[in-house]
Amino acid sequence: MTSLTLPLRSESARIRPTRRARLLRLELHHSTMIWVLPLLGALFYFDPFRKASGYPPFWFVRSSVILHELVPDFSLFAAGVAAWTGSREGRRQTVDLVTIAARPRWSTALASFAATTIWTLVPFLGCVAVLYGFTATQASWGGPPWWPVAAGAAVLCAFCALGFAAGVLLPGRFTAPLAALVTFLVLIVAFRVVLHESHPTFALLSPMNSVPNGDAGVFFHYFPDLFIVQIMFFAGIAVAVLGGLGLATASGSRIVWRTAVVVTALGLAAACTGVGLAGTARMEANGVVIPAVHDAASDRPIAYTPVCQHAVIPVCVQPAFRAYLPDVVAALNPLIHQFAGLPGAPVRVEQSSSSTTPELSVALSATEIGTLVGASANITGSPPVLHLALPKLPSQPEPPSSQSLSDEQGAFVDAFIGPAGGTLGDPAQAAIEAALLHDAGSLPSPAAETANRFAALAPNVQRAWLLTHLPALRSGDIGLAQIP
Amino acid sequence: MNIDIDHLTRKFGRTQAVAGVDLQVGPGVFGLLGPNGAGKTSLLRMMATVLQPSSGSLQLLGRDPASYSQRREIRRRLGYLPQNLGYYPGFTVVEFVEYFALLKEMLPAQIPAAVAVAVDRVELGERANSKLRTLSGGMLRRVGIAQAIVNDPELLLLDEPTAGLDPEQRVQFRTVLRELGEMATVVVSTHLVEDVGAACTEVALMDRGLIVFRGTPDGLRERGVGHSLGDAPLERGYSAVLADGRA
Repeated sequence: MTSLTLPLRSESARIRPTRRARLLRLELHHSTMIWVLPLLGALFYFDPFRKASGYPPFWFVRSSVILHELVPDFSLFAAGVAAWTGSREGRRQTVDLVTIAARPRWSTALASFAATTIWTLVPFLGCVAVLYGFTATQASWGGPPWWPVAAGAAVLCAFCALGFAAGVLLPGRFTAPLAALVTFLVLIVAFRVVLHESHPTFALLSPMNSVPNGDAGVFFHYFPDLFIVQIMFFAGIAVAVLGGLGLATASGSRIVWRTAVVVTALGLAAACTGVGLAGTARMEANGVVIPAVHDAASDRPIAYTPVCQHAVIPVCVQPAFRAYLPDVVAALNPLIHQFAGLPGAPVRVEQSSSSTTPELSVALSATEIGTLVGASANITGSPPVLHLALPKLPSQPEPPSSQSLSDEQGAFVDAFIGPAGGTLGDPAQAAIEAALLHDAGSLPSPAAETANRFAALAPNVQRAWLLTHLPALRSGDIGLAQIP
Repeated sequence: MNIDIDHLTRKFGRTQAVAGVDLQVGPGVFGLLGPNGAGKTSLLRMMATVLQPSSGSLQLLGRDPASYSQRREIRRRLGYLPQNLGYYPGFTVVEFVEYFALLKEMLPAQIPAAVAVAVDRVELGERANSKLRTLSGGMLRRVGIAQAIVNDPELLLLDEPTAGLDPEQRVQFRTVLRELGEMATVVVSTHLVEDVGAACTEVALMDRGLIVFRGTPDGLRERGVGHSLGDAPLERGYSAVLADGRA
């Protein structure tokens, strides 16, 4: 016999690892997920990261790609690789050897599952770290939201568990691709199409259904209600599936069977509770409210000290929008100059939340996959103050001379010319607004001609006319023919 | 007796793989011979607690494998090499043996040394850190034997253990078998009668799900006297017993 000089790891270690830790270490070392990591990294860079880079540097907007892009991308691979790992004993014909081991097969399977899940969560958290690190270099206010991260982790655990159980119970070469395909169908078809159309409230459970407004989490706390319910639902599924796996592999062990029954029951209870709570969800101005888990404290607005720039009048924004302040001032200044001294002209501009601006307070569909909504404004108080919402902004502030904030200019003119609290509906109002914004192209023929005619007037002539006719214009008492 | 079997049967659908076997085996190396389809593997898998018997009783190491707690105790003391050994290509020799040592619930502190001894015993010390995908069929068979003996089993069940081994390795393996048989009950299922002659203290010959001969290798040789089929005395005995049984 030859003598053996093996590297007996941890032999000299003071604290010897337990059997469970050794098993997990072996599984971690040989997880198939390791081979998929470069692919996941590339996928992250080209999909979620690039998409997030195109959003303005606000924490909640950037974090929306976690559930919308990152989790679906990772879920396909997580389910597929977990199925591949779960089917290992069947594919490699080691079922007999594993079955006759003293260690319960459930326990052995859980070690494999844990390794796959860890290797799924580590790159997921790594990608989140990169995303948040990148955002931290650009964001001027606030901090990273962790609820989307927790919800994303729960979703990944659930798909790992489903894929793994499929692999154990239906071992074969095609189990892995089928698991990935089914995951895709569940995420895209079941949640986004079937449930969206038949039970929109339950479709809230989908990880891909919660894109916030551009200024979400800035003026009001972004409600964690939906995230909590999503975590309950997906973590419940993961636990129930793993418990079910225990039932399938108990092979006569009462302890294993009883434990598996309890685990399955707990998982099902959590998942069913999540579904039930999702059914009670209602869409409010600042997000989805689920009464059973809603914290009333999160309804209160977030206190902040506005950042102001004093041009003709003070223009103030929330500190998160600090970088955009020169843009906003540059966009509004021509109009502020033009309106100065007119009846009802604002003496100050303040940023407001898009969700509290009257015309946006109508709830969006809870399951809408749309992204950022347009700007809006109103003028209230005495002296009048322009409250301007800035929910839609470019990813980076533009040079001050640019006209990138034309939406905000339109909203300002809307608020100034239009009836209080309403929208422009009168042809004369529309013509004056188009003339002031030099944008008559979208108007029908008589109004467009009037707008072009008014726009051609000298600014002092325009101003003189507005000074005398503005109240009548606002109340809808001016016809197109009365506009010079 | 470490193995006590009473009228054990096993059916797969309409096929009767084991048709009422009575067998008592104590310490030593016990050879299980028989042609293909005789029921050797099914009997061995029942002894390994992989399969449940259709009827009859089975006691292993004085315990009843039908009870989960006793089955678990048996499994802690069991070593098993299946006929078709599955393996994980990415594991090294040491990792694969360590993996099954962990599954056999060996004490963590004992595992590194036990793995080293088992790997050394099957002459794979120099390939201890090689990936299994790089090993030959014979080496893989030895890895399978190493995982079976890593826990110093009281009951060792080997299904065709020498398949794929070259003559030199087979001779060395028989030596290992004899050493193991001094402390444990070793059941070797094989169709190679020379393995039985060289290493086994007792032998049983199965045919059509039944044991048709039970005795020593010398007894089997004697049964072949005057029988013409076979090159060696044991082979002649083997053929004679089968011919008599079928007649």
